[in-house]
Amino acid sequence: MGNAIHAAEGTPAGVPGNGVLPYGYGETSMTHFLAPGQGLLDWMQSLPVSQWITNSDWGFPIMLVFHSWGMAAVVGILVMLDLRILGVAKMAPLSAFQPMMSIAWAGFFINLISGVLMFMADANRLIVNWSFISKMSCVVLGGIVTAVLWRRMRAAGAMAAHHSTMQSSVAVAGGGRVVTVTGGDLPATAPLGVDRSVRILAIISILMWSGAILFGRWIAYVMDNMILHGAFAPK
Amino acid sequence: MTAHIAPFLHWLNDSWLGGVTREYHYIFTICLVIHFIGLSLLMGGIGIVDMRLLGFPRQLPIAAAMKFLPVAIIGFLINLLTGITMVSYDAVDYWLNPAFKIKMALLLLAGLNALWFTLAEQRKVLSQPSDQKMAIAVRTSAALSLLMWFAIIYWGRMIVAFQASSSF
Repeated sequence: MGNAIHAAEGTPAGVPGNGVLPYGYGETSMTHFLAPGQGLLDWMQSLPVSQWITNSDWGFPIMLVFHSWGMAAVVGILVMLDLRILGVAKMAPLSAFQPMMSIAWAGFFINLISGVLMFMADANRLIVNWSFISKMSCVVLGGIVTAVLWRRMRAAGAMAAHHSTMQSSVAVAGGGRVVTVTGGDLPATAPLGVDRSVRILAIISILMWSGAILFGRWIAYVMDNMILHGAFAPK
Repeated sequence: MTAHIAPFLHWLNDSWLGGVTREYHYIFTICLVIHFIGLSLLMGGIGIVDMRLLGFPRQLPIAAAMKFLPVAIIGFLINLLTGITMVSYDAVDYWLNPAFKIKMALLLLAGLNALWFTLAEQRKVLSQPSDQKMAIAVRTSAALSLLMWFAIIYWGRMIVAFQASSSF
């Protein structure tokens, strides 16, 4: 009884001084299977950086700003790659995406760091949040699909841009009529029709990144007890 | 300026759209999700164009980079529609939010910047050899575009931070 009131006030047992756990998720039977890891989750939340994200006015919004910037970079570029494989901007040589991958990686690491920090700040609730778990699944699957897709393109010769070919293609592009040939014998204008599986992978990749965005946004509504407060009363 | 915008916001707020979004709250939530997917399309498309105008990656022909612009425009239209729908939920509340005002001002500037590039520079850029460095005006415009779009994301995020009773 006393415990329940305590939880409602936002300080469930075992989570010292953390002000954002109004529902006491950590104590319910939902998490009994996590018992061995409970100490780790509590420890994460007790760290100074977690406390700062949780209790300061700007900690959490700043994390979300970085998470959105990183998302724009990593999802933006990877979806453009997928669209290129599916036939958008056919005259763009696929090998041009190789240097752009450094931007996508930068976005990914910004999101990894901001994401890990936000997870640590609210670990007990996130570990049982179905939307968070779905988001992480989408991110992992999206990463695997992109890696496989990349390897297949490389194997097809789309990435091996010979220097001489590249220079001539640039020169032709200057006239506005682009007949680009990039690497191997594979014309860049061919939508990789030789390997339909690459196009299917591109579609799956787009679905995974969209799913990551959908479930990422939904985490908050699950936390808020969606039916009562979240999705059906946004303000 | 505010004097001209206020009647429009009241009209939007009281419109059929505003009524529907207030009656079915989940429309707002769904719009917010789609707003982030539109953001990714917009930033991916415009990012490739701006980066290329700044000279990266060199092996991407300018004309090919420009072919990603329609994707950016589709992303922008998605966000325009979902944005207007979300504002119609409580238009006056949005207008009182300083972050929203700054975001709208930046959107206007980014739009003017894009318009100037399209009208004054696009033809020149497409007809010059792709390996040649862009004019300083073009590079400035591209850098400003990138900065403004990232600032728009920042101030979009701040809208919620400025709202009193919101969780995220």
